[in-house]
Amino acid sequence: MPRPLPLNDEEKATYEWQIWVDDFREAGQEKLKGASVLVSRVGGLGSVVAYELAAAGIGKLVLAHAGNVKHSDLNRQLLMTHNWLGKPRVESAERRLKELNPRLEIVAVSENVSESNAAALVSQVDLIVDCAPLFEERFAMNRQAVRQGKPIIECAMYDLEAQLTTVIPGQTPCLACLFPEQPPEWRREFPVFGAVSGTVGCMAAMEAIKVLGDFGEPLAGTLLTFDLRDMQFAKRRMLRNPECRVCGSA
Amino acid sequence: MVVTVEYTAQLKRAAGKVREDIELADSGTLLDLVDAIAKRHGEDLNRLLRTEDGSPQTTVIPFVGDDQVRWDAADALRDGVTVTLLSPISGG
Repeated sequence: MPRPLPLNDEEKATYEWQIWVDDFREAGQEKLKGASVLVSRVGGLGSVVAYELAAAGIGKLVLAHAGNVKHSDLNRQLLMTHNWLGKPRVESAERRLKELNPRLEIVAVSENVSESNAAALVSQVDLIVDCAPLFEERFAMNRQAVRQGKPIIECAMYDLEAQLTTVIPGQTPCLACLFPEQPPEWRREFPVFGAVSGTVGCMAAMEAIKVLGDFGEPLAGTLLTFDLRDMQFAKRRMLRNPECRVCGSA
Repeated sequence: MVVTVEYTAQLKRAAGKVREDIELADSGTLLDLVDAIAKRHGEDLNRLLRTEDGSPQTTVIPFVGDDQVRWDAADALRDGVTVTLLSPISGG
């Protein structure tokens, strides 16, 4: 977990409203300042996660996302802008985040997470937020998070629906407990509104803030599911798989 | 017994509905439930729900009420329960 860092006067003024939260206070803000988070990718979900973490005063973000901004990104990827079409996504993300919080340290990686870079990316941070569309990326992050003992927030969406949980290695089911193999029918592109990814992204950021700030009750071992079509929310208890190929012997 | 099945995400789209009631024998299992759903619906839902040998996809997660259960759990069902079939989804 992060090493707290003392706040200067500007930071105390910037984060005054959240420092008023009773079980967070200045001690919680100092934890966020000392904390680092990997966000993969910075698309519909990850843009909002990164923006909320930057706004909350996280110390360092590692952003991993390949490719250039496309028209079809702009309905939901809120760190991408029309004037950045055709240019690298992580550069757009870094620029927007720095406008909001110039104190934020950003490591911008123009690659998606893979088996070959996951260990190095995860080793740079205290916590991971998985916003990736492909299960091979998600499994690579999950494997390293469990191996390195780092919490990982899992968020997903489809149409007007979403799923969210927080994996605490050694304590809760991991992504591979829930999905033991690649879903054969899953495709990278799917129907969704930006308001859905924004909702899930805000919730995922709050989960990260709670875990790093050591307050509240994260969704540990619990899967939050919701459908914004009829505003049905459910908290579901997940099973840990004792034979899980990733955490079964953890 | 009658159980209510709730579909999510891609399963919901393939089923063309959010939920439906399915009648099973009183000794019915989750595997019987999947068979009954497959008989009622077309290939789109069947392909998402079952493998070629007819067993449930391991990436579709069954919940009885709010509790995850294993596909091979005995006595998971009883009259009046709601079974949610969770479809695997991701970010983007």
